Order: sequence, then structure tokens, then C-alpha cells
Amino acid sequence: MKKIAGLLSFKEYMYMLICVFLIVGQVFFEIKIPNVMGELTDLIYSGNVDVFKQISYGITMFTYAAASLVFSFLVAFLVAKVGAALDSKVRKATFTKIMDFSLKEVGDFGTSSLIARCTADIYQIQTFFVNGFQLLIKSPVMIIWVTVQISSVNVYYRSATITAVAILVAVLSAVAILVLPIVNKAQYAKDELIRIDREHLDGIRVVHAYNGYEKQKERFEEANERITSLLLRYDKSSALFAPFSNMVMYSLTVIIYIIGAHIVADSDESLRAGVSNEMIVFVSMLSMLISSCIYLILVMVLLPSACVSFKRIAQVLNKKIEIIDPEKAAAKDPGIHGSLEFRNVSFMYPGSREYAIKDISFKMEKGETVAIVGGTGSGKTTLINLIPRLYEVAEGQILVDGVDIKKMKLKELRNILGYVPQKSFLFAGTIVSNISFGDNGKLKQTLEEIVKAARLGKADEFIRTKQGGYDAVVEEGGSNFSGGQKQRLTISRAICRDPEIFIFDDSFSALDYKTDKTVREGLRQTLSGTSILMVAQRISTIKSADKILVLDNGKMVGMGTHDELMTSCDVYREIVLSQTDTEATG
Amino acid sequence: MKNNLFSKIAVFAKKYKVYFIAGIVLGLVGSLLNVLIPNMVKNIAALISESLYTNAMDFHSIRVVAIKTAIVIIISFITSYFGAWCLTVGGQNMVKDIRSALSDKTDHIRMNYFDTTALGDTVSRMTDDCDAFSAAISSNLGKAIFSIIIVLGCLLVTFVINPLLAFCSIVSILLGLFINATFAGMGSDSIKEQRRLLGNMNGMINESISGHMLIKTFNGEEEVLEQFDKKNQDLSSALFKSQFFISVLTPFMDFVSNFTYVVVCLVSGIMIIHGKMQIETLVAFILYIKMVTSNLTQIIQALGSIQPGIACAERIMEYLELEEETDEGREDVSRALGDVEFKNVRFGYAEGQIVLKDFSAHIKPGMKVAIVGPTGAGKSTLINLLMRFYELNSGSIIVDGVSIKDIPRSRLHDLFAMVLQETWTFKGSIRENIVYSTKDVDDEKLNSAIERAGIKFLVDAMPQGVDTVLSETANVSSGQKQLITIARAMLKNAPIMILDEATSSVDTRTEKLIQKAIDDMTKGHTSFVIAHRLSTIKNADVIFVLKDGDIVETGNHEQLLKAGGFYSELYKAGLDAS
Repeated sequence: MKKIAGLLSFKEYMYMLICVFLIVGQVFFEIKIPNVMGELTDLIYSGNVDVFKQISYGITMFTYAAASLVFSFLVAFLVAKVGAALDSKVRKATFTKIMDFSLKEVGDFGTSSLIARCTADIYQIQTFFVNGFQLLIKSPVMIIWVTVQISSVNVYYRSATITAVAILVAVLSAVAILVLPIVNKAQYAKDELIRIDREHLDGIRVVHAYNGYEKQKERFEEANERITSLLLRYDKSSALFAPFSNMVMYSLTVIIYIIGAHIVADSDESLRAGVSNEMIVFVSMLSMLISSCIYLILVMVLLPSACVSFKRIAQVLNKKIEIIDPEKAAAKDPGIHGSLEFRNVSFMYPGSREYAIKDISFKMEKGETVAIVGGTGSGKTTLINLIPRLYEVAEGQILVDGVDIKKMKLKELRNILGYVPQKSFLFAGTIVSNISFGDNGKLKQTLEEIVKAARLGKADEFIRTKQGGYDAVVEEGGSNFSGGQKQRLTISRAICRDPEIFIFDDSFSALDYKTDKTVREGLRQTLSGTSILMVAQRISTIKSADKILVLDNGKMVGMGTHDELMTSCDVYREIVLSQTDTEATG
Repeated sequence: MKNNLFSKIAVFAKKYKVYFIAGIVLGLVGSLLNVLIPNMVKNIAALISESLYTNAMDFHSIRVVAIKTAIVIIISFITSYFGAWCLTVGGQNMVKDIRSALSDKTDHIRMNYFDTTALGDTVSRMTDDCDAFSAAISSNLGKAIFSIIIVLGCLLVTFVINPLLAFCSIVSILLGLFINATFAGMGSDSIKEQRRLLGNMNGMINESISGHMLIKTFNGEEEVLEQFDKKNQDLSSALFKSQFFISVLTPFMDFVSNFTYVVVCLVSGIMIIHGKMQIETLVAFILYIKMVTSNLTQIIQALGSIQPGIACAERIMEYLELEEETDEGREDVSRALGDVEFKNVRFGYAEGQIVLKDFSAHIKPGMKVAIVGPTGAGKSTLINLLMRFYELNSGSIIVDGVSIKDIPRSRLHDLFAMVLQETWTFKGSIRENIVYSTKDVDDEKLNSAIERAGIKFLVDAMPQGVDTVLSETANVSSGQKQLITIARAMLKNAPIMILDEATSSVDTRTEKLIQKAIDDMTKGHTSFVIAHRLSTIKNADVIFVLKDGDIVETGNHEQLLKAGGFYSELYKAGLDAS
């Protein structure tokens, strides 16, 4: 809560303060208008023929109404200003925070939940502010003003009023409190629905291929049913607010009149007119009091969902990020480039009880190529994700250029690396914006450098056939490129960074053997000083590596060159045999 | 256009018309009673005032009126609440149906739509737009309707009482409404602009959170934040504008109300002086004017929420009206043998960009067909066409003697079991992911698929075995996910098997085992395999070598090697290094 409040600047708080004054002024005029109105009506009732007096009352009333209008315009202006600022500031803070997350924090929330928090929940808060702020100020001002006015009336009226207001507040707050957990659940049910929709769209081809329509429908309807029933429960409860408030207000008026009838009848004949007048004034005040209460309660209807959204955003903002820059970054030896060392590294995924990788040690020097092979699920990707500190090493140390990565600034560490993930990901934009994506601590790449990188990544030829060439549009998710093309673009992107160490996570799998070979040879020839760490399945891809690590079930079962491992490592030999026995015969 | 939109929405509303009608009738009764109550309360006050002159308090009459009023208050409460209750039930259920319709629609839209549309945009149509629409109808539509009816009623009554005065007040109200409408017009443009920018912004947030890992490793945070800031600022100024226009409407209406009051008082003052009007008329008149203006305010407030709701409904209907895949085929494939013939197939995803030029081939039942070729040669395209994900530009594909155009889509899909390049699993148990839509699966069949796909070890190691839920955070690697999708295809056991780079992330030892299992399974079945690993394709009966949209070579491994063409070049590239 504090965190979100702290996002607004002094200027915006001043705006809000000015708003408060303007609203007080507006309340003043709003109360004045009925008074003048009453006098004008009285004047006409009394049969007074003074047209000028009538016109002067009319002008006064018109002036008050105009003043109230001007004040309202100013309030609307300021509230809209602050509302827009609140919206953009909360969104920025949330988004920036999410960008700071490591994979662990992203995993804790889930991608679709984070997206919902950064979009729908912020919208919810903004809506609450612009609709609620004015009412939250205006109603108490009205209530206080009216309460002061009626504090002198007799004890019967007062106690009846207090009882009624108490009943109103109690019942409606009880409903609001009961509703809160429903809103909370509904928000999560919505996350669920969004996830299912995303999965459906993501896997639309599989859905078709398997005639999975019914299965998909079943999953969707379950979530749809759930959210509908929650929203229904919420709506049914909150529909109570307005009719209930009306009922209390009218009942109270009737009760006041009945009490009033007795008081008038009991009082002295000479005082009756006064007592009756007092009663009528009281009732007219009462309607203002109650309508203010109702407005306040209307805010309560909006409050639960805003509260939940508030909480969900606060959770993001308050989330402790586990992977951060060290307080004091260790100085890097400028003479060392492109070296990487694992010292007894172990890692366990959050929530898991088994090590994903255990006790891994190896070293890679500048310009070397180190390959990692191993069975499915043997921990290859895990090992690689630890290097850019996407996850934090549990035990042991990783050293890049001789420095423990935990003691290096994250930016510096990542500038050293050129990472190509297993799953190609492109951003909406152009080919140029995709290849030159990110910051490598140097100047932004020139088109020449981009083309050079695309050539090395074997992307140049197909880029030239695209409409617009290097400025060709890339749709969200790169949906207008084939799997192999996407992979070549992501490889070019890493090359364009001009890193000290390349990290390829099975990044050649969608390329044919020929392209695979040309890319690797190109890299070796042109960027001979750059180290390469790669995960690969194909023996042809890794055979020429200086060092090969063999992983099995998270443990390293062999390390050495191809020839060494062929004699010393059973697992490696099996892998090689699985690929070469058939091929060699051909 | 708008009328059209309403009739489209009406299709969904029809099913719940009982709720809507009951809701509107009850709500109307409730609000009319609400109008009555102040008059009844005034009667009590009048009785008390009377006692000042008669010197006797008529408690009996007061009691009678009070009880009558109390009854009306209670009836009003009950009808108002149940009116709202009915509208809520009708509205929410209708939106639920709309959500289902959107989800169903996804299964019928042409595949090109998804190639060119951002996922985030479609998701927001299915969720956010539905929410905004539901908010607009569930509470505000009812309010607007009651208010409109009350306004019309009041105007009618005022005309009966005094046409001239009614005319004056209507002119002044219309004047106010006109200025208001101008404001609202300006506002509606900025509301549209604001929604467009919001959609844009949300698309970017979607992408950045999905590509989070890449942004981090490329130090792209600043670049992304810079883009974000620009979008955020544009959105903020649009938001300010639209918000301002929306929130000045109510105070403006108050002003109109006061202004009308002044006009009515002055006009009637003059008329009373000239003896053309009774004072009592003015009293009634003022009551009605108040009612009209306060209900107009209600209408305008409701419209403020209905307007974006309409914009959202338009987006929803736009999606529901997207062109669908045709499914006119009625012929059944009686003997599903797996005989596939491509006849002069010509195809391109976009106009002017032909991927397959003139592809012809005949695959006999039980053959294992391998498709090789460089990236972008059109290998996956061939599979997409076989599954009829896209329509051919010309030529035809014939399965077991029937053109795929003449086979119902779901029947066509039944003929194939496929594993795609991009693995797709969903949040659900491993069992659900493997069984997916296959019917009549017992544990025995499931276990055998798990075993043959080589994930028995994985499943056994999971905390809840086959019922372990696959989620984003579960540490199942991409290779393991691929194996799960292979198990899914094995379980389906269809006449024709398609494997598009199905084992690219699987290590070669596991692959070999699975390959054997697949070979055993596809014995007698036709199968299509796209792979870069030559070991996977060597024992194929026929290999198609694709290059630039044409088959450049056909034959089995030995024949192609001997020919010394493109295939042998590719093969050597793989062999050289190993």
C-alpha cells in the first residue's frame, strides 16, 4: 500500500489537496442552491408579483449553479490528471519490477498472472480512483456539515437517525466484507481463464489435429462455469446495496414523521408550528445525510475488487528479487576474456527435492569450444541457465573471466554472453530491431554490423527475399517466419552482440546439417577469439569441440575430447553409436 | 451498424429473455414505486401540518398512511432487488455463453488469422472485452432503460398539465443535452483512442513478459523500457482526455437541471401573475422536472459505461464473424489405408509468395516417407496442407481415393496422429496431456504408450506419478515435453503418422529407442517424417528432397546417394563432421 502511495509525486498530492478545497466549495454551492430555490418557490407561492425580485433570485441561483459547474470542471480536470498519472506510474513501476525479476520470481507468479496484474489489475485501480476519489471526499464533507446542523435537534430524532445509519453501515459493510474473498477468487479464476485461452490459441494446430475440441471445451467450460458462478455471487450480493439503502432512508423518514407527530401533539399549542417546522427541516437534512452515506457505500461496492487488485500489484512490487547486483562489484581482470569455470556447482529447482544438476566442475578458456551432451532431462539447459544468473546457484561457484558471477554486475555479466535459447523468440518490430536487440555496453550496432551478423547466422539470404528486406515487419511471436528462419534470426541476434562467450542451447536443431555446419565454421573462422559453450544432440555438431561434457541425470559422467570419451565414457559411446552405426554404413 | 450490433447481441440474449424481461419489469415496478414513496411520505407531513390548524392530531390516518408507505417501501425493495438479481443472472449467463462462443470460434477460424494476429490481442477479446461488456450490461443497461421510461412518462404528464411550460422546459433540457452530446462526442473519440492505445500497451506487456528471459540475457531492459515509456505516456494523455470528458458530464447535467428550474420558475411566475396558471401546477411541475433531470443524469452516467461496452461488443462480434474454414465435405473414407496422393499442389501463405510450386507425389499405404531439405523449403507446409490447415491455391490432395476437400475435417484429422515441431502441453496432469482427446483409454494402454515413448522413468520419478500436474514451473525439459507429445500420438494410433521434427530436442539414444517403437507401431501404417537427423530418415521407403518449393530429388537413401545430387551433399555435411 505504502509502495503504491509513494509512487505519486508532490505535484499530484498538491492536485489532490486543491481538489479537496474545490470539493468543499462545491458542497457549499450545492447546499446553497436548494435554499435559493426554496426562497424563489416561496416567493411565487406567496403570490408576490415582483418580477424583478424573481429575476434577481433567478440570477443568484444561476450564478451559484455556474460557480458549482466551474468548480466541478476543475475537480474533473485535476482528478483526471492525477488518475492518468497514477495509472501510468503504477504500470511503469509494476512493469519495471517484472523486468527485474529472475526466472524464479516469474515462475512463482506464472506468466499469465503477471500479465493480468500488469494490465487488468492496474485498470481496476485507475477506475476506482477516478470514480471513488471525489465521492470519498465529498460524502464525508456533506456528512460532517449535515451532522453539525442537526446536532441540536431533539434526542428522539437523533437516536432514530443514528440507529438507522448504524444498521445501514453494518449491513452493507458486512456484505462488502463477505464479498471480498469472492472477488479475490474471481480474479484468480480469471487468471485461469486467460491461461486456458492462451493455451488454446497456442496449440490450435494440435487441437485440430487431435480433434481436441471437446477436451478443450471441457477445460474451458469448467473455468468459465467457475468464474461465472463467482461473479454471480458477487453481483447478487452487491445488487443489495442500492435497494437496501433506499429502504432504510425511506423507513427512517416515515419513523421520524411518526415520532414527530407525537412530539407535535404533545407539545404546547403555541410551540407546535415551530416544532413541526423543525421536523420538516430535519427531514430535508436527513435526505442529504443519507444520500451521502449511500454515495460512500457505492464506493464500497467498488472497493473490494480494487482492494484485491491493489494487493495483487503490491505482491509484485514487494516481491523480493533474489538475483540482484552485488553491493560491491568485484574488479574484473581486463586481461581475461572469454573464460568460464564451474566449481562444484549444484542446483535444485524451487519446490523440488532433487538436484537438477549436482557437483559440476569444468573449465573453458578463451577461444575454446565446449559442448554438453546428455540424455533428455539430464540437466543441460539447467546448467546453461545458471551462467547468465537466470537462476541462482545453490552450491558451488561459477566464474566468468575469473570473477564469481555473484560478485559481478548483472549487466556486465550478460554483456559478456551471447545467449541463444532453445525456443526461438522474436519480438514484434522489424528484422533490424530484432537482430540489434538489447544493449551490449557498446554503441548501438550499425546496419553494416547487423548485416554482417545476419550473414554469419545464415539469415542474410532469406532476409533479402522478404518484402522490405532488413526492415521487414516481424509479427508478435515471429509468426510470419518458419521455425528454421526464427532460429537463424536468434543466432544472428547473439552474434550481433559481439560477445566473449556464446551460449547455444540446442540452437541448431531446426537447421539442416549443411546450414548448421556453415554457421559453426563461419563462427570459428571469423570470431576465433570467442569461446563457445553449446548444448547439442548431433555428434557431428560437437565432435570438433575442444572439450565435451557428458551429463547423465544431473551428474557429469565424462569430460574430454571426442576421442578420449570414446574410450573412457560408456554413456558417450552409446550416444555416438546411436547416431553413427547406421550412418557409417551408408 | 449499431442496430446490427444489437441484433447480434440479441441472439445471445434470447436464451435468457425470461430473466431480462422479468428483470426489466420488476426493476421498472421498483423504480416507479420509488417515485411514489416521496409523495406518500409528504402525505404524512401534510397530515401533521393539518393538525396545526385543526388542533387534533389524526393518529389513525397517520398510521394508515404510514403502514401503506411501509408496505410500498418493502415491495419496492423486493422488486428492485429481484429485478437487479434477474438482470445479473441473465447478463452473466449471457456473457458466459459469449465467452464459450468465442472459444468455440477459435476452433473454426482459418489458420492464416493466427499467423498474422497477435495472441495477446485475441486473448484480450476473449477476456477483457467480455468483462467490460458484462459490466456495461449487467448493471448499467437496466438503469438506463428504467430512466428512459421514467423520463418519457414524466414528459408525457407535463405536456398534459401545461403544454407551454412543458415546451419551455424541454427546450432548455434539449439545449443542455445538445451541449452535453457535443462533449460526449469529443469524449467518445478519445475513449476509442484510449482503448486502442490500451490494447497496444497490453500487447507489448504480453510480449515482454513472455520474452522475459531473452530481455534479461540481452540486457534489453532499457530498450524495452524506453518503448514502454513512450507507449505509456501516449496512453496516459489519452486516458486523461477520455476521463475528463466522462467526468464533466454529470456536473454539466446538474447545471442543466438548475438552469431549467430557473427558467420554469420565471416563466410560471409570469403566467401566475397573469392568472394563466395555478400555483399547484408549479408544485407538481417542479417535482417532475427534478425527476426528469435526475434520471437524465442517470442515463448519461450509464451511457458512460455502456459506450466502452459497445466498443468491446464490436470487437467481440468482429472475432465471431471472422471467416471460417469451410467444412462442406460429406464423404467418408471407408477403408482407411493411408494411401496419399499429391496432385500438382500449388500453395503460398500470402499472395505472390509461392512456397510449393507444383508438387506431385503418390504414397502407397504403409510407406514411410521422409521429407528433407534446407530450412524454409516448405517441409512443414506440406504437412500443414495434408491436415488441411490451409487451402490449396490449385491442385488437390487425395487420401484413400477421396479428395481431402470432400472429407469432413474431423474425420480427416482422425486419420492422422501427429507430433509437431513446436511442442504443446497444457497445465494439467501428465495423464490428461497424453490421453488428451483419445477415447476409451485404460491404464494398460496408457502405460504402454508411456513405456514406448520412453518416459516411464520420468513419470515414475514424478511425485504423483502420471497424475503430476505439468505447470510452468515444473521442471520438465523441452525434450521430455516432446516425449510426452510423442506418447500422445502413440496412444492415438491413427492410420497415418506425421512426425515433424518430433525428436529434435531428444537425445539420440532415447530417440533411437523411440524410433524403434515408432517403426514397430507404424508397420503397415503410412508415415511422414520430417527430420534433419539422417539416421531418422535413412530407412524410409521414399525420400522427398525439397528445395525452393519443388521436389528436386525422389528415391530411397541408396538411390539418392548414388545420384550424387543435393541429398548426397546434405548427407555428407552430416557425415563429414561425425
